Amino acid sequence: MQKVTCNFCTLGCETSLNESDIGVVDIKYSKSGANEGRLCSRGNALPIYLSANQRLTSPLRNGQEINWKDAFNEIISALKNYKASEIAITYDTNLTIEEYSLVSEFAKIKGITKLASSYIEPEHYFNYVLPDVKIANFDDVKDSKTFFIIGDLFSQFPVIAKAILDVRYCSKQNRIFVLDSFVTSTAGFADTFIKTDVGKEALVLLDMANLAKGKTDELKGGIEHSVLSGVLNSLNESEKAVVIASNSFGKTTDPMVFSGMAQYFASSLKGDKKFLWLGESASVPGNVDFSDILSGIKKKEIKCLLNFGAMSPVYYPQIWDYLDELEFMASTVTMMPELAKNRLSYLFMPTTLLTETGGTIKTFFDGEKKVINGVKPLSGTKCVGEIVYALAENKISVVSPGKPVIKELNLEEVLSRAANMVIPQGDYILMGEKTAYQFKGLFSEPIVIMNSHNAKKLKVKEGSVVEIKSSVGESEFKVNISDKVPERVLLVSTELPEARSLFELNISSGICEFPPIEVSVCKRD
Amino acid sequence: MQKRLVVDLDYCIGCKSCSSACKLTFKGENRIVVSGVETVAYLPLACRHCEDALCLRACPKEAISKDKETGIVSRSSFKCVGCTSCIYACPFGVLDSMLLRHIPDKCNLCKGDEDGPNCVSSCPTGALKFLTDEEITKVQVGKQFVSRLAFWRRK
Repeated sequence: MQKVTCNFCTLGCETSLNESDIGVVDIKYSKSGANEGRLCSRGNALPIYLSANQRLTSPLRNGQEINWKDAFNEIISALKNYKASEIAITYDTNLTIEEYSLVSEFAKIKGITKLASSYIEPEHYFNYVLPDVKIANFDDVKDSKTFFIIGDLFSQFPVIAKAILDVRYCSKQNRIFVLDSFVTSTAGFADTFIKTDVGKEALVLLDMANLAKGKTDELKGGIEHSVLSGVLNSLNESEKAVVIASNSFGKTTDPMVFSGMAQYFASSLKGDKKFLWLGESASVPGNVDFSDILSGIKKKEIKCLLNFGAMSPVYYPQIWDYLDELEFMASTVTMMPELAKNRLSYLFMPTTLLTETGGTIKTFFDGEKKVINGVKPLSGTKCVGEIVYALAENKISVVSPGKPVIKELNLEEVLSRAANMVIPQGDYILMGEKTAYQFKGLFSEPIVIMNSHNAKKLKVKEGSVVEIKSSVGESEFKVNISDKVPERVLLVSTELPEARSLFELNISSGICEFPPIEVSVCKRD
Repeated sequence: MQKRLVVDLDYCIGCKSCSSACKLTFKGENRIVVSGVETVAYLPLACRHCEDALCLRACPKEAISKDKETGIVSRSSFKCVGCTSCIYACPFGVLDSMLLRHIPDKCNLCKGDEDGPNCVSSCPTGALKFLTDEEITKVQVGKQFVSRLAFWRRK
């Protein structure tokens, strides 16, 4: 039995795995870590994920397996063919702090200046922080009296729910407020649930921040003054409060505005009030946004791309058109998406997951901590550190781990973006929600949740199959009828590849957005 | 000592971690299903291992038996002929998963596991508990839930 740190999200839960000669076979819920061995559905899937058949075990070029030496030689010679300005480096959430430092050092040696995070999920933009925001830790959550939760926190990060409910139940005065555009399980635990119109969460947060600062402008979010001021008074009167935000792929119109407004609201509250965001293992913003890399590829300014991490950009079919214009791309991956295998002819290198790598990561429960890597790396894989050393031809001296960069958010810019935010329109709007249970489609089939009015209009019943078509793709879903979603909204789980591929990537605003989109839907026989 | 599966409604958030843990343990269909009134209350449903098990009485092939020591009601994969009588007999509707002959698709409380069933160990909020009858009397299951909802207070 090997003790390990779960590699899926930023919480940093601990568990134990049973390893045999054939790989990781079983999970043992040993009572360790702040999570006391308890795990969400995603964490339960750790043994499946670590020894999945889809994991790549040798470098792949044009769909053909090659050896590591050839792979390294090919990348090293490709790097020599391009000017440093034509090369970009991207990385995602699967890297340890030490590996980030190595990648940065490698870029410095090669004179490469374009570094970006390829983790383009909406929560990435929580890394852009307003200067006067105080970030909460686990102790702050346990000591808090009141919580203002934005989004479906309990479904995305069930392990944190215990700490919040413990606080709520220990005193009658303690409160939970929830803000969301549809009714969720988190909303079910709220003392006051603020239900906004689709896409208007950020505007409601702006209204609340304005009210907190004594500005009585016109309310743009469509929620009554009395409701907002009631919640605001309760938060201000509370001795300690934490504003917790989470976001999902396909849920928010502008993730930068969403992040900025949540922080602006938290910082406008009186007294000891802190902000907390939860997402996948901390992603680090580079010196440019990934959307700049994609624009650079289109303009032929970037011809070569190196990506380090578990979630290669090829996981997003929406960006294949951009990637196809590259002359050379090499990326580390853990799992190889079947579709990408057939379509893309780049060089893929199998890499380890955090649970196998070891090193320092930033977690919510324990702050900066050494990953317990009790599991042997999958045979054939190499960790990013090892790969970077080889690509640098051993020219990197020992690098002391630097602090991951936090990008500062410009309030003026966010406010002007908020003023120009487009609220999704159309007869049927496709929205995404991430829940731990739908992790990679391991536990649930693709379903679409719609309200009874829409079901009647489409003449579908519970369990019927519908086809949803967007401008970028089409997929079939089983219907689940629930009035928790508003009219016009078709809610899908964006943990499922079928659902993710329907959302359009928008980079026109200078960041990567996957906003809710208008779709057509028809019943299948 | 016999222990039972207890659900604290105050803490169940409907995350289905119990279902996924069960699915992974049995390498098949999960034997605990999260039900309830969405966003109001969630109730993970699994076999109650009843004292006087109706499924046991309904079985024409004596495939279902109750362990006197642990109280676990189990279904023999060899004796079961897949007649579905037990499914109709179960008053809690927890035996309604697809019945395949020779596959004892039924909760056995992860028999033999010292730490209790995996659904309990994985539960992120501690809503699922594995307690003795004596311990159950000391736990105020669903106290907050009852006071929160006027409907239950009237009852």
